[in-house]
Amino acid sequence: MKRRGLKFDIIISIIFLFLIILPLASFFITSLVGVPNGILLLFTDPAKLKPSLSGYVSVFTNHRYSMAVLHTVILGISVVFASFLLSLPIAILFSRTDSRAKIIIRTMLMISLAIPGFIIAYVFIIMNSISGSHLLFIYSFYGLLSVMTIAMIPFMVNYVTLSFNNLDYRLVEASLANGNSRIKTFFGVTAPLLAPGIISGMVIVFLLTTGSLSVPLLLAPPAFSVLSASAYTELFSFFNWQIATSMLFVLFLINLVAIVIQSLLTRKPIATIQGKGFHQNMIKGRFTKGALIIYSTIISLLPVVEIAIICFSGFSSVWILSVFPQKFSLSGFSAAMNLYPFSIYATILTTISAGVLAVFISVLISYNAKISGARSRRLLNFVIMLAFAMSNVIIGISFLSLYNNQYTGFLLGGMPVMLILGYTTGRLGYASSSVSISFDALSNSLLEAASVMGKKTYNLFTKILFPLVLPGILEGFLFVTVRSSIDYASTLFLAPPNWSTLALSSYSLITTGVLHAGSAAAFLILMIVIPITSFIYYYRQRTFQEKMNT
Amino acid sequence: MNKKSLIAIIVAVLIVGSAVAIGVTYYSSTKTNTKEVVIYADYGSTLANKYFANFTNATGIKVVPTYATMGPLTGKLIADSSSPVADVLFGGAPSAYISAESHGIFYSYAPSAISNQTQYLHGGLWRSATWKWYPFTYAVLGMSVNTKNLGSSPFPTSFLNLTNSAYRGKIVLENPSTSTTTGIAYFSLMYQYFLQKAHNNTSVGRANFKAYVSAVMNNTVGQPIQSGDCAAEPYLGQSSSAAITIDWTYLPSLFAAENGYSLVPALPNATVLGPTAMAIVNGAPHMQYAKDFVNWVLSKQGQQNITSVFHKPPIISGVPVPAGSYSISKVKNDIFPYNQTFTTVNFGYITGLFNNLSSASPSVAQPTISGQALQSGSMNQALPQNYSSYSTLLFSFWMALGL
Repeated sequence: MKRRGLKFDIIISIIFLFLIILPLASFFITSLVGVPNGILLLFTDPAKLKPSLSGYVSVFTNHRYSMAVLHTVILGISVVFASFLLSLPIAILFSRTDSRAKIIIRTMLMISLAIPGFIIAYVFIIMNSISGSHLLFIYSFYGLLSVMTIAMIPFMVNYVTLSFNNLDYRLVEASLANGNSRIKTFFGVTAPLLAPGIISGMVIVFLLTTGSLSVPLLLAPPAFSVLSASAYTELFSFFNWQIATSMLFVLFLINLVAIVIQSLLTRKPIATIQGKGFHQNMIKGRFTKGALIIYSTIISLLPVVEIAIICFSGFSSVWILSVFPQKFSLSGFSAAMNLYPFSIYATILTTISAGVLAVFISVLISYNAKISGARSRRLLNFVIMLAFAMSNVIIGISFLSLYNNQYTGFLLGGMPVMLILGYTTGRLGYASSSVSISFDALSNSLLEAASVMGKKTYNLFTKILFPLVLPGILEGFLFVTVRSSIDYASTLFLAPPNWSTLALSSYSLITTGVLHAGSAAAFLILMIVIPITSFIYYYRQRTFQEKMNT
Repeated sequence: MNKKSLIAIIVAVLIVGSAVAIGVTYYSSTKTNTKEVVIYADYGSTLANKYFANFTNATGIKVVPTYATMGPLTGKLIADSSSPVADVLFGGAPSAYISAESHGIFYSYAPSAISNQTQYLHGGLWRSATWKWYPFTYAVLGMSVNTKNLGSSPFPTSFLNLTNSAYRGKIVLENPSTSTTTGIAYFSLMYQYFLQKAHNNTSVGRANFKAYVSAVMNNTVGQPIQSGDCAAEPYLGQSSSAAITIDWTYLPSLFAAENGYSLVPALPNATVLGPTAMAIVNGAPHMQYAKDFVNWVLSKQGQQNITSVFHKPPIISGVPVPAGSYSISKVKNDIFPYNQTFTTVNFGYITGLFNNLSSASPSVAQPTISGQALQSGSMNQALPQNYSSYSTLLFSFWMALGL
């Protein structure tokens, strides 16, 4: 077993080296030397390089850049708390009531996971236009906050619901039975039990918010610059690689700090209790249940409204200052498909490949951890954390700076290999988390029994492990596929010329003023990813603990 | 799953892997032989696609386009410089080309189509001295006016009018940091104008420029538009209050025809005659086809297509100027001697000023020159005598080239 574990360790290390460690090193070197192919020059022509920390010095001494750091953190924290507050009643409905409506509400809400941030931003822009510019607040901090919060609610709902579902009410009852007050019980028992799941959700939301590029590009006012958009401007308007990559490396460090804080706060072991069975404190009051259902329905209708607006815009050719378009037409679709005929196939092929690769690597990691124990797990988890902290724009630039050279350039320029690997790296954390949950749920005694009965590794894997972890694999695969298909930032850097995905095509069309074709491309993305997302969450609900409660 | 199945899977994986490896090798070896040209285009994709289709029909060379704004396209070219993917950069202002040229991403090539340079507008005035980029058309910077929303406010005739309080809440601006063709051209023009007015006294010129920008920003509706060069027109066209944005004068009619917006062009005095350029990428994978492309664009057929597809004027003589576009002779008295290199050099200052003023509360101070308020003035009238002489000299030179 140990020798086999060592082999897997080597394979995983090589994968991580090329997907995470080397790209990050290349990115850091670029921030020091100011040229995109710095790491290559380091080996081929080091005399050309003049490393300095001037990029980092500028980030912290130039008022505008340092404000971008501050704004990024403020936006991240604001979105975390806004999405948490808005998600809390929905999570309570999902975990503490036996209403059947929650299945529909949840499925509708989870559609949001498949809607890219830039489409939500664009929906707000359309709403501002048709209202006659009465929603100008969207081009401000509050607009950014609104769009990012709406985009993040489903993530937060998932994590908070999971936390509530795992809260063993026996512990609360035990505390109250021991004479502790409700307040003391809440802070001493309930809150610590809920904290790990909620903190995980908060960190995920923080990472997704700070790493977002397209939404700040569309909505952030000059007075509220954030790191991702400022770095984009430095890179593409001033061609200043040193400042841009320094800013993004600072963003990476901020994200890393958030992840480290999360792992420290969630490491505490959770108490258990014997005797009475696991149960929760269900809400019985009809008024409370009704209020929760109404509120959750309103929030879950947001993605439906977003889809309707994108649909109207895609199927129209004139839509000015009226609730409904003045002229319906298919010209947007024909224009989008005429301009980007391969984009549907490019989206499907690249994202499915990324999904397969991400779950393959995740299974390798989890299987390795299962057969060789916790020996290398901490190190692997740390490397996965690094991938989590790399936002999509960092992945795009780091892959570009490392692999775009005369030796491996064809993997970027000719074929979408690096695009697929970029998608894989960006979502490896999510895939790994889905797969490892399934592996962790497996009893070691089951494997030991199979081993004692003489089952070989191959049979052990295919006949015992694989069927049991299949739900986690499927969920990881679908999640990576969906989230990759709506990626803009890394696609911008890594897509070969004739491999524009629907997300890239839609954003390019919208920002070059071809609005209805841009909406049509966005609508096509939604038509591909929404059924997949709905399936994931319908499937997931059947496996959730809440199913036991209903 | 039995052993046979396992063997079948392994064989299938090996076959697929081998096929992919062969495909990769074959693709790499034939990449440069494919009859195609990869073009990074800073253009509205609907029109540019028609233009590229006409090129393909004429030459049999397929165009693989990537559409985006100038910033991401040039940024990608710099990033790709050690292993270029694109063959041609098409569209965008010379200021962006001047900036990108210093990164060594363009290939020096004098197109044979314009070997007789007297036919090529303005001789060496607009192109790169080393033939690393060259214009293929031009446009006049003006304003797009939403006639419905303008109401009783006067129709603008000068960029100086934009400080007029009658336009409070009616102006849409693009951020010059991201609008690297339209936005930066307008702000650089005004900066150059105020420097001229101050006889190149930088502190006075900058003070007046700052006061002007601040006053214009005080009239804007909402925050400046952040995303690129073509975002203001839909905003203006769909708004119930915004009436004016800075725009190239051929675009309002196009947007009106395509989207039904109530937009008309306004041609101000003392404006920019903005060339639109192209360049061959250094190390282009399809170099010969890239040369074929630029030669076709600068040929009579290519230029006729510029006028019929983009509704923009030709850069060579012998091709008629399309209706709705301005010929050089029509606008010659309204052109400021705009310096593209100045724009490149001062890009940081201009965008920094803009962003700082956006962050602060706008002031209502009006720029003045010798005590004269400028909001209702004509930029030409306010110009010093030596400027007008320079302008006349410049156009005399152009006219001497047979235009």
